[in-house]
Amino acid sequence: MAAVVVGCSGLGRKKLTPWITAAVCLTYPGTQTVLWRRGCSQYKQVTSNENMPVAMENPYKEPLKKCILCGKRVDYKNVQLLSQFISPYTGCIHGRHITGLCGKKQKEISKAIKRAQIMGFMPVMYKDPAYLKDPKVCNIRYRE
Amino acid sequence: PETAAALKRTIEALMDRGAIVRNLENLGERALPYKISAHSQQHWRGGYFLVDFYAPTTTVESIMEHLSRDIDVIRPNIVTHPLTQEVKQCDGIVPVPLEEKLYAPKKRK
Repeated sequence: MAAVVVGCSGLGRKKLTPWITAAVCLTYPGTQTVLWRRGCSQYKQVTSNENMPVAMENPYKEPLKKCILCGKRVDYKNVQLLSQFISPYTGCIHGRHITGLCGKKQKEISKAIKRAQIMGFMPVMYKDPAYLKDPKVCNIRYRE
Repeated sequence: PETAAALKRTIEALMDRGAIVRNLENLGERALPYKISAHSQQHWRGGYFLVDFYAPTTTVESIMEHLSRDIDVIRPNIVTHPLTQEVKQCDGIVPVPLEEKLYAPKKRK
């Protein structure tokens, strides 16, 4: 099935000239659905076959991609989870482009980190050495 | 010993202000992540305790004031209970069409 879009504009490029319109002709072997529309007068399609595409939502739609924390609750008390999203050298919180979290979860994580740091659960300037061996969650590469 | 007495004092103070204590959890005693200086003393180690309680919102300030006066309490914090907030429905990362990102929205002052 080949679809060819032909756009012919006589005068100027910006305005779609009303008296020459584009035409879409689909050449399907077997059916004749070749339409050429010219002129001001709009005439309906002569042949409305049952083979024309039916409007429906995409049946092959995939479920939306979820971030790693989607649907899970973030607590200021589990320091291990929170320290996975900070730098081990400076202790600064990684941005959204590094962690790959969705908007809400990134905000929740950063709020929880600040809370834990102020309350005395989590160190501020560095990462707790007990949690240095955690599996890498963020998309960051450190210099060796 | 002293920590038990301090805890008892704080819970009694809470109940005096009309708070209903639900639960008291001990999160253990460990070395603090950074040296905290409170009430002209520096502390390196501390015990963490978590108290669940129902209280009217107006008494929060008086509770905080009382706890800050207590010498045994290093860092008082009151926080809304996280379990009362429901986990909102998160479908996933919605892909933003790139055309919208091409022209940044005009900032209005």
